[in-house]
Amino acid sequence: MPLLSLSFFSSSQGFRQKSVAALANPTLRAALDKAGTGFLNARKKAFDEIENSSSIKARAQQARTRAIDNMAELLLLFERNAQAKGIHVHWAETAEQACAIIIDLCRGKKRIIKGKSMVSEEINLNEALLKNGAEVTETDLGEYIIQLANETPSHIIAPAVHKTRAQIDALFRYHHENIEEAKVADNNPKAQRTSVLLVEEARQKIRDKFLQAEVGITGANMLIATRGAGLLLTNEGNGDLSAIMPQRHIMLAGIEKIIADDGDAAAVLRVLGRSASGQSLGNYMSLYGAQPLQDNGKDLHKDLHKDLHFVLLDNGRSKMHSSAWREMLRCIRCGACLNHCPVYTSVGGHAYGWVYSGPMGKVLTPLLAETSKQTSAQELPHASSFCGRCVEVCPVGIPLTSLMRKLRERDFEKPLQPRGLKTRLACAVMRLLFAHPRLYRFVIACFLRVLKLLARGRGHISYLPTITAWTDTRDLPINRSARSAIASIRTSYPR
Amino acid sequence: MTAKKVNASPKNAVFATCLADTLRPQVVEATCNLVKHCSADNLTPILPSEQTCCGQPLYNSGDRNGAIKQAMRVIDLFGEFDAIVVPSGSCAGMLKWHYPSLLQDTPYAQKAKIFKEKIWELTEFLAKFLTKLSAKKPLAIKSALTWHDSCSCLRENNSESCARALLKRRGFTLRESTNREVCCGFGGKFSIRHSAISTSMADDKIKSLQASGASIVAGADLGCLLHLAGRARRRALPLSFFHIAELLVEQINNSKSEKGSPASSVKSQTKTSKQTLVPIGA
Ligand code: SF4
Repeated sequence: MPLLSLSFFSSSQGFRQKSVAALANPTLRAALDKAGTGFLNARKKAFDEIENSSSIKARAQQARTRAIDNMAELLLLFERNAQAKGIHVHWAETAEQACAIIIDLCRGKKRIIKGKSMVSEEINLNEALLKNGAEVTETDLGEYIIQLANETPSHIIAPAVHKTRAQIDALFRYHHENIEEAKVADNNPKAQRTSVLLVEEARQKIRDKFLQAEVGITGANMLIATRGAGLLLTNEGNGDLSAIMPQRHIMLAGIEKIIADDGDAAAVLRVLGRSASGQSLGNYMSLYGAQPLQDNGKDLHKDLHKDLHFVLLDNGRSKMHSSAWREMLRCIRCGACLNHCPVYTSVGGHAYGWVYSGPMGKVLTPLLAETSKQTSAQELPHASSFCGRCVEVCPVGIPLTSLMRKLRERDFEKPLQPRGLKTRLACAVMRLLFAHPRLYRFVIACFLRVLKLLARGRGHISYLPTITAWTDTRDLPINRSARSAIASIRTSYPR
Repeated sequence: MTAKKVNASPKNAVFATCLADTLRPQVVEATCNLVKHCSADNLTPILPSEQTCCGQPLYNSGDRNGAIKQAMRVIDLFGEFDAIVVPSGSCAGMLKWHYPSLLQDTPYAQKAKIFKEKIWELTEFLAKFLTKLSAKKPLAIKSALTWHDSCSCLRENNSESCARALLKRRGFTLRESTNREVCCGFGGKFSIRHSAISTSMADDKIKSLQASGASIVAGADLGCLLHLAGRARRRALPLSFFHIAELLVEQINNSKSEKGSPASSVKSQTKTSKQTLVPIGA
């Protein structure tokens, strides 16, 4: 059971408590506000600029549908093609297995650098490596920041989006002791440094790590089946340095990252960068494993002495494949649904309790976490107003709200638990009243009279015992006439 | 959209929606009057008294079977009409878009498809058929107002341009707010289950609405309006909220030039229709 990967699910604190705490954190709100509009405007501009954006999205959706529909065959094709070039392919059913494989590949090697990989967060890889005595350095700036802060990512694209510049400045001052004083702004150690200075400082720190690293671990944006190669997109170039500098490169990816061929990969690329950050493409795009490493057992790159390992993780994905939530496997992790979600932008990613947050997290987390006994994940699909903006922006047409509703339905059908009691009871009452319109009318009439009494001559009430969750923060407008429309309008149904 | 015929003597019905029926009967009354006004021979629409709710609360709670039963009941009750006008984007979306998918594997699959074609979200209906009103008639509200887009009007019914066209055509001054496509945080049971987030979203929305400079907010979804008005009132903000039906019907009421005899107009037995327009929650 992938319990390890879920170790930072805190069962004592569910989404609700965490979201309330997040709302009360002004620094977090400020960071989220600032990041939010930037992403939205960039994405909008990127899609407005191209003429046929809807057909481009449709083509991407088609490519991802093809990949998921033929997932098993394409994965085997990928394996064959990679192995023919002397590339190793490892299959991991669970998070533990993936960690064990990677630890094994790092045996005898101490210094490890990493490019950004959400799957490595999913399996809690850093913790497993550190336990084995390795020294792990994240090289993506956002990941580096949260590694220093000992936190988890709050966004799949921008892991440190919850941090303000002032917080990052303080964090670097604390951890970077030997940074030259000249780099500290204008001889004033107290002044907050510009982003440029902060990036430069991190770059200096990370550069040494690249030079010394023995193993590099990166994620993959796509696994191209016909090539047996992994595609990686980054903005900082750190992914490529992580892949190229050390002798050994491990590419870690979920099995759903498979894509049939170059044409389909290109179709996805057209929407990925645009949806994520408004870029037509990331700054750096590389294919790993495109060239053979060996030919007839002869080492073609002796001088480089490179080896490449793909670690492909299931961790609940094949179960999703044969479930009602298969469409979720189309996800290309662009983050657009997070950026456009009013719940996400209100509370940030940490409230969701795991690496996947926002609308995609509300679907993925309960499904991937389902083998564990964690219950905090089950609240996630309920934390949506179903506004549908995520569905509108998803470049591969995932019906996120319908998938969330299906999870609610699954919850509803489960044997009665105390948690679901209120919902069950409310639904039972509704069913009864809807089936008996006259009883419904009677109950409504009584309810309206009670409201009128409580309002004491005003048009609203400020406290209603049964729904304090409403009246704690909002008045409840009432019907001053205390009669429903149906009861008061004369022209009623002639039956 | 294919043009739906509402001519000769069609049988029009009004789906009151449980929220408007219970908490804002003026909206239902206004809707009936507006539909009547739109019909060629001034026919009063039918308001079936056995109606309750569209079943969305069940649907969104995960009670799929409960929602299916309710959908069948609604279709049984309203199926015989030619046009069903719904003064709520959210309920209209439920009847129009969600019923067919809910009922697809039931004996009602075909009925749901036919039913879907008869559903009109109010602003969509009025934008097409409310042609008899002249813009010269006195306005219920003289100051500028801003429009609150509900997510369902925006993303399910695509009717956001209808309300704007209607208000402008009638001579209302419309000031646009910012972040129009962002949800206000109502979301039915979400507003209670995740009250803190819902309230925070209401505050964000109120800020955007205030950015328009208008102090009057009109909308087509009572859920959003109750939520926003309730929040604004709690914070003692100078904002008034109205359903669009209430604003438009005042123009009919204000003009006595029409031939329709007072006795035949849809009127509640209470005196609310005689009172001046009272904002939601006031
Ligand atoms: S669900 Fe869609 S929008 Fe969200 S991350 Fe995945 S692909 Fe992007």
